[in-house]
Amino acid sequence: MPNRVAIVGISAFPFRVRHPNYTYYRMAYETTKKVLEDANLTIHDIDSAIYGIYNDFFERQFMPDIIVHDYIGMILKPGTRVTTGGATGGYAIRTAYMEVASGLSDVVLCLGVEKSNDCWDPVTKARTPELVKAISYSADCEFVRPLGSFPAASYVLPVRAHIEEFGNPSEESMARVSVKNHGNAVGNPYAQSPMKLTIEDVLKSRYISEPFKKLDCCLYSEGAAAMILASEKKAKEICKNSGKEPIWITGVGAGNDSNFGGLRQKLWSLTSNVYASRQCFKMAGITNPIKELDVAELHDAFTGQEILSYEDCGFAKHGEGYKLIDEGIVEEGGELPVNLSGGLIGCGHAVGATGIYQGTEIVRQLRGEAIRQVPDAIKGFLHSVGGPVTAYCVCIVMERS
Amino acid sequence: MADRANEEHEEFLEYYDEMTIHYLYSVGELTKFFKEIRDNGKLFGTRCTKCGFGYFPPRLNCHKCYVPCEWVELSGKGEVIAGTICRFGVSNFTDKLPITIAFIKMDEMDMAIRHTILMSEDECKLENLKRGTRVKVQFKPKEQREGRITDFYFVLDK
Repeated sequence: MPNRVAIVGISAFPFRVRHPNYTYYRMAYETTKKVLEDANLTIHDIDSAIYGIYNDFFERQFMPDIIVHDYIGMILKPGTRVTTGGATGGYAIRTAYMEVASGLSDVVLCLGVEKSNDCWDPVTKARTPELVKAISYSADCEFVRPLGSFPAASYVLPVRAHIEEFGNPSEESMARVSVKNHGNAVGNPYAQSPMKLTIEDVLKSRYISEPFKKLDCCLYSEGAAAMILASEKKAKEICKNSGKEPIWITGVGAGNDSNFGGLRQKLWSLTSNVYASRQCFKMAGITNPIKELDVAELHDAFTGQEILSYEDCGFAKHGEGYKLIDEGIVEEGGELPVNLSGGLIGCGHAVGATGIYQGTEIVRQLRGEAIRQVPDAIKGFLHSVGGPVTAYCVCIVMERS
Repeated sequence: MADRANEEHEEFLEYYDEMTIHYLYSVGELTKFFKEIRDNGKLFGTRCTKCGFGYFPPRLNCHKCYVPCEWVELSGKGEVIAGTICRFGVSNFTDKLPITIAFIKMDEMDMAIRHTILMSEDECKLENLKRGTRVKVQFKPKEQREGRITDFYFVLDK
């Protein structure tokens, strides 16, 4: 068994369309400063760092991690960058966990940062088309990128296959996820898109990749998030000083599906999610996630994807995920609230930081510090997804003792 | 309805830049695949010599059996597994919208390829992209072919 690992500090830098007054390394610095304050530590207490930074085109810099490493004062200590698409944040936490659980380091900084909206297309004078072009280099460059792939088209195809197989989710069910997540973001100072919407607002928004509409999709963001992970002995010392409760990582699972979605025999199931969540729940000793978990943050880059994830994470049977949103089970006050932070749809998607930010929301919930607090939350679940047609998946269970 | 797109900022400077690297790259063992497309207007997949699984896009080794695959000429006919109509796109594609993207399984193969279905304005509806919809390959005229994945596309096989 790996050594026990706790999260002893969290912080975030607000997710916004742009932070034109900040470089990515200064956002990283501000976020590091805050996470050290949260844990009552100094940078000298950190043994090693894991960086979640997804796309070199976004930062306009290859190996941006070494620039961050220098800027935050980690010179001559180990630092490793993780880049696994939308799952970069989740995989960064898993990597930081591994480093502590193995005994290699006692105190590890896990820092995600992204500056995505410097990308700009001189023809349309718009940022998002160029940003998704930067992302398109993550699709197979021989067979997929030349055909004009972009994330919404990639992630809608399993949803389309699900609609063909089961007759759902309907556009209304997907709209409910949009209303929920935009609404949950209201009051969250870190969120980019807090909005009180109606189902009709969502249904009236224009098609991006059918049936996904504009309000079914998250927006790309600039922002950062961080955690400090520590070994059991160190965590107890640190938390005694900081007065914060240690939040234990009790389950970790990961799995990467085929890069070519067409190789998958059941396109309507996000099989990387099935594999990663089962592994994670097995490690955490969870057999009935919807009953045993108190709160969950799922990777909702798109509304339909959140609904498929309910099924693939074992919250609902295949073909019945839509009931969780239609019946309010995943709403605030429901049996298992999902994305009370607002998720990606409400908060935005600062890719390398996203999974870590969602992890900080779970930690806040378990500490009792969340904005939309679940009363007496003990077990929380983080789900981080990325890559072509949801190829990468990391799942993590966190617990308060 | 207000997101935070219009928040005000202090003064900042912006500069234009681009990241460009030029390549003269080899397609390696895929040479036959792209040469057949360019020169003969033919599609080839591959089949594992042990388990018989059909790969398209082709791969020369079966990742399950760890043995070589052999080339198989395809009829060019197949069916839709799932499809979408894109009304937004990557910057170098914004003048080509809408684009119809689908997973298409060729009849002789066991996996689907993600490719484009060219549809007329009338045809361009999700209801015409249902699972099982028959499609057939169409090649660009020979003088326009470069030996690339974009040398062909699919149309409805009515």
